[in-house]
Amino acid sequence: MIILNLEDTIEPLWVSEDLTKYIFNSVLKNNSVVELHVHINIHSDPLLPNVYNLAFGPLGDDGQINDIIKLNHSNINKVFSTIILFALAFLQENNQMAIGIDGSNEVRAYLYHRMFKSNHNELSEFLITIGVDWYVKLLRTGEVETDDNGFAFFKPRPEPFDALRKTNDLYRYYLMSLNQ
Amino acid sequence: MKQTIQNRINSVKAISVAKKEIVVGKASSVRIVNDNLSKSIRTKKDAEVFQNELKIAIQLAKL
Repeated sequence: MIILNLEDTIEPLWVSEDLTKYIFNSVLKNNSVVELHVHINIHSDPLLPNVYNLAFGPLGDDGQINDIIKLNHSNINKVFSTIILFALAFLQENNQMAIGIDGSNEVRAYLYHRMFKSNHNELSEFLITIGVDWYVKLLRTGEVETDDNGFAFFKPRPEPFDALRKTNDLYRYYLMSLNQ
Repeated sequence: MKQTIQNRINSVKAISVAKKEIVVGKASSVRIVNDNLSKSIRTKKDAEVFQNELKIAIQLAKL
């Protein structure tokens, strides 16, 4: 279980002027130190101008964030508290925006869901958390709506994060916005 | 929000201003995003519907 404490966070080594990039160190269980990067990028989809995407992890050899790597942090609560603090800093200066978290794999998505679930009451004071499911329309013919390639035409449907939802029923996407 | 938390946020913002000269060579290259959300938004209409539903979801969450 991830328990957030925004009064116990890691000081960043560097923060970009626009509050979209952060660098901080995390100590792993084997006492080594890993440099973690947090990027809050404007969504590449021009149809979603007010949604930013958050990614974090060490840099890979290609200079991109490696967000699928598994790391054994000595204090994972502090790591996630730090990331949420950064997200809050960004949202306070960009209060009409939302930050989206995809979850690069099931393990990450499970972590995020548990984090939001376990800290829902505390976070709700300053963050609105939204879960997004994918739905497909059932046509009157009894078939589901399909796209041009014949695949089911899934559409995203956001809802307030349901803290009672079990962790084996993950959302497909998570969004955070400032509670104002 | 507790003042201690806001103080931490303020100190993060202060670092963003204080260390801006170190930007060059420190940040990684721009990340290319193509996440599940953008894959499911196919048209402008899809985006408008999603944005409106997001606004409603945010309002509901505040209740």
